[in-house]
Amino acid sequence: MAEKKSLEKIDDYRWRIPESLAPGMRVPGLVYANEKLLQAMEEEPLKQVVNVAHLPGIVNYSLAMPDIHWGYGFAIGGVAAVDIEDGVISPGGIGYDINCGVRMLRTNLREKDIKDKMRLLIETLFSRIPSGVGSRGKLKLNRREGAEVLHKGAQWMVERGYGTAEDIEFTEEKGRLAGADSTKVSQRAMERGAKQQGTLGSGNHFLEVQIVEEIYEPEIARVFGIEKGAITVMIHSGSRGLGYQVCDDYLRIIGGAVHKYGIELPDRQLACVPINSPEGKDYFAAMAAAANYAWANRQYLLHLTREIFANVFDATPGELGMGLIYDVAHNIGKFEEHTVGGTKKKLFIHRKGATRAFPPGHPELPVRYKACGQPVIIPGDMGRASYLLVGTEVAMTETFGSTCHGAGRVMSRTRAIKAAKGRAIHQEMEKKGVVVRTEGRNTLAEELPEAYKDINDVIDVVHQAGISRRVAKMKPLGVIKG
Amino acid sequence: MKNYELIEHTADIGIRISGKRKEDIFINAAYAMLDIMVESCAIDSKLKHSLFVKAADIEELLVCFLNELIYLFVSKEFLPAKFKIIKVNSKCLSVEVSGEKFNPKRHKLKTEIKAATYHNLRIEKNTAGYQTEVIFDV
Repeated sequence: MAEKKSLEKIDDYRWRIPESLAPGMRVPGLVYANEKLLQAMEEEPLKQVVNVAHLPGIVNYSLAMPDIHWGYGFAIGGVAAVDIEDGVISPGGIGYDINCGVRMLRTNLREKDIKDKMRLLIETLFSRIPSGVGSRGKLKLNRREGAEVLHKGAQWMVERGYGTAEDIEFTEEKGRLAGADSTKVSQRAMERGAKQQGTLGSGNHFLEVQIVEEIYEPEIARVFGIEKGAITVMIHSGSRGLGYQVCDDYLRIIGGAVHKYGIELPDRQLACVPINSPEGKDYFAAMAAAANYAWANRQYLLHLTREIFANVFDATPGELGMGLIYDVAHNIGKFEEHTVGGTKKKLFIHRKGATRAFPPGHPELPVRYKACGQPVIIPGDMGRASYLLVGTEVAMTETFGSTCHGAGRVMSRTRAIKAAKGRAIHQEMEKKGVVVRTEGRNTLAEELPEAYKDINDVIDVVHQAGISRRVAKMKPLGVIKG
Repeated sequence: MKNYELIEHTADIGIRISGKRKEDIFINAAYAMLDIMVESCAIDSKLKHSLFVKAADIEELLVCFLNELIYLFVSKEFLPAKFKIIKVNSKCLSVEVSGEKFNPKRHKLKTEIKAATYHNLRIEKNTAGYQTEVIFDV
């Protein structure tokens, strides 16, 4: 494979994969990375960037963020925009965990307030928030309610009292992606989802209590409502079994229709159909429903978090200042308006392991953030740091308003488990000042900090390239994982 | 007895399986997946499920079969122990799966598999039999 060798340096943070590399490429690849990240990068994700460039209707570039890593079909950390007239929609370009995403909330607590209660807080979060493989939610929804959630997303939860109107205001798409249709979601998917609403999940999903360690843009941080030394919370979860089943169902349907539309693909997992085809429309409606399930899920997890904080600190969530800063999706497909070759166009954007990063003044932004831009929440590994960034105009012109989504793995899970053998990861984390509770036996080893790229490198690239700007850095204090 | 090897894949988990006959590919892949999902333990085979899977080709058949087992596990809490292939060709598979209801006291879960993927999926035939690789999203 010659993908890495073929990279052409544009500047210190941008690399082009020329269209001439493979005969079927319709556009070049554009990779955001620095020398260090590139050196550590495997060939496979770059090959996947090349494969994605084969998609009919793809516009400008097959984009790769600096946290890119080897996925199935599409690389994780990629963005593909397609023309809605002659472009395609691909379930693999969004992934199994539809609307996997992150939300971040502020508190008015300081380290001194939580120091003595940290262990109790983490224990309580761990015991009351269902997590891990096979966990069941406490929220029992009947069939009708289950379908309503798919149409209304986070708004359904807020109507039931699990949150505030402000939470909706500060969620991407207001927590409800338009065009969802629960009748396009299979009975199996509904079944898998029914028991898992309000659960964190396993693997890299987590809930983390953090402290703001550094502020880079005080003005914007003020608008986001955080300052140095403040305690914040980050929640990372998605659409659980419902989303996985929707993806699997439609990969099969769409996989069977690829030839009907005369589409040739280098990898079966890239299966796609025209956006305007019946199969494409059905998939979008089901995907939007799964996205709404995920927003409802994160909304309910936020509600549980507030209740637990209120109990542990003996104060109301209002008194604790527990407002939502923002909620972003990082596995999703959306119709958005972008400027291509000087003219405004409606495009369909696949973001798989990439975060929307809209600039100041964008009509989609809530009034409070209109002047500064969209908050972009980027979780790191459990030992190092996470970041809060802001969207920029450069992202709008170069990456269809997108940026990275996390640190990105460098080690396979099996390698991480080997690397962790004989080590007391729990104690290592405690030494770093992080209290960790996990459900799964291997989770702690698989999620070893060094199994991930250094988040600081990833953030440096997106910041220097200008596709989002650093606002604040948070350090983990306590984590619960599935 | 391990009839598979794990593939190093950065974000997910992959398996490489081989078998003399087509049937072996299906059975070995199912056991491999089970090993990834739960800690090795004794699983009773008192419950029976008949699975009938249809697909466009043998690769899709394999993915559908594995995802069918994931569905049974997640939705019906059915933990398979043994597989008896009644019929297999390149477009349909009929299997009798015996196992038991998941019991958290005796069975320890290891990894949540979201799905078996179609990534670079190809079942190849060589002189020794069949072989393939499957990547799971975990």
